[in-house]
Amino acid sequence: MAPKPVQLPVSVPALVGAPTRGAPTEPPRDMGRVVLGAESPSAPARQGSAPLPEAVFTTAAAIMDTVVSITVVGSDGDPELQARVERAFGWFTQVERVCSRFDRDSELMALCRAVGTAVPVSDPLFGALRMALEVARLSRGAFDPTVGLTLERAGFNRNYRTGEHLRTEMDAPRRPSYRDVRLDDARQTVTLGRPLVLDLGAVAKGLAIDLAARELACYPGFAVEAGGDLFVGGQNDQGTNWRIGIKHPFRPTALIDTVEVRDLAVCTSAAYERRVKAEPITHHLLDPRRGESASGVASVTVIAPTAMLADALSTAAFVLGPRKGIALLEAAKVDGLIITPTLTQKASKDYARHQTTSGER
Amino acid sequence: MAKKMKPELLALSTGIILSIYGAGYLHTQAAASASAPAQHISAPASIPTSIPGSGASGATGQTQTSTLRDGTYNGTGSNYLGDVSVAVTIAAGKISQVQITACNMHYPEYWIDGMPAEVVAAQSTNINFVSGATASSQAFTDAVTQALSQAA
Repeated sequence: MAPKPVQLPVSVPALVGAPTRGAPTEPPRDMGRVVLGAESPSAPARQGSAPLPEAVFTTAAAIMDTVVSITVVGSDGDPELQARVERAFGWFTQVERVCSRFDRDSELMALCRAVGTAVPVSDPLFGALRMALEVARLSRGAFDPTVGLTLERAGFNRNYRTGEHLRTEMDAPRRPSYRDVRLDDARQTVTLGRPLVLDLGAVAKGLAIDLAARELACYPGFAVEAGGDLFVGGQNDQGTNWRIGIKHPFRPTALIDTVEVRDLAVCTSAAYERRVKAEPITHHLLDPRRGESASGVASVTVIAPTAMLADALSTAAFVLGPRKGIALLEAAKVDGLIITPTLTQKASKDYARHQTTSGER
Repeated sequence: MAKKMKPELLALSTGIILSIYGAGYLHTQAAASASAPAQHISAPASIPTSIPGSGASGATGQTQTSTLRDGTYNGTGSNYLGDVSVAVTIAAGKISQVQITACNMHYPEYWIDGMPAEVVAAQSTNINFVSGATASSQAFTDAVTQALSQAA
């Protein structure tokens, strides 16, 4: 199949600002989907290396209440490319259907209606819960997947597809904790010890990114990005490691650092995106132990072998604060950077090896 | 179960991914694929590799990648949060002014108030992706990108 140049607008789910050729026409009125059509031959390879024959394909869609974009460095006319990218997006849809707190019919919400019994669950739900509970344990509850009802009552309850506001009728006199969720590895069942609503938001998006990444692992370079969390595999079309900017926590278009990575996830938790007016819950990163929005951190970036782990750990570190947060990352053997509200930077001990060397900045 | 292991998180997370991936799509596959987005793979394209970064902490790069033709160019950026239109003025080959001409976002306009100045102050840098970049600012940068594409 000869790929046909797309005349749709450039709309890139990462901050981009350089002139790209192939002037876009009208923006898409279909808000559900954007198609990337940055047309133009690959930029010349760096001096000293031969130009690569690969082309770069990028496509995006709105899933999981964010924009998901997939970029592949592949061969022009590869017949498998379209199918693989479709399957990669399919994992996002799958994981969302299973793990969404905003959909009464999701497997997650069905589980939440079955208190006190051992419920057999699917692989993705069990895996996401397993990860969430391990991070909850390691962070001593700073990360806790049982905050769903608190988030819902605080106004984080809108289904972005239908616009409907979800309200779970539940008699929950005491605040639940991750200890109320029991997993049976052998039977792959989950037992909820008390009424609670699970929230797997901090794990499910990462899980979907990782599954999509597996689908694309056969390519020499690829990137899966969802709302500022991403996994990059192999190298970019220049034959170098992917260069990832880390967003400044307060200035929308500025970067606070850059790293160069391959075969790693880079996830950032920050308080700037999803806000509600009701105090003391001002953003979606709750301290589950207090039921209030966490403070003391402006953003946390974690670099880890999977996005699922990076996403969960960045959320936990955000709640724990700079000192304990870095200790958590180091205990989990991953690297990260924590920015405080006064823009002090605190990094894990091996973070610097990912940083773009000063000579190349 | 809950207490039997000191979690080796890296191995655990990799194992979870591989086992889910290995098991393949679920029983919900048919329903899911019905709602899965139809994909459009674009033609050979180069990744937009630049970002307006104002050099916070001196972390961003210096390479200006192209020359711009003088004039005023309009661009619109749009995503599920809404859309933003800008007018970008190029003078002497440089971005001299960025104006937000329309803002129809779910987020208030003040959220992007500072962004035109950031763009004017921006240096271009060789960035593939940005971690932590959120949809609310994307529409703005997309609008500027679109405007600049006409000046290139």
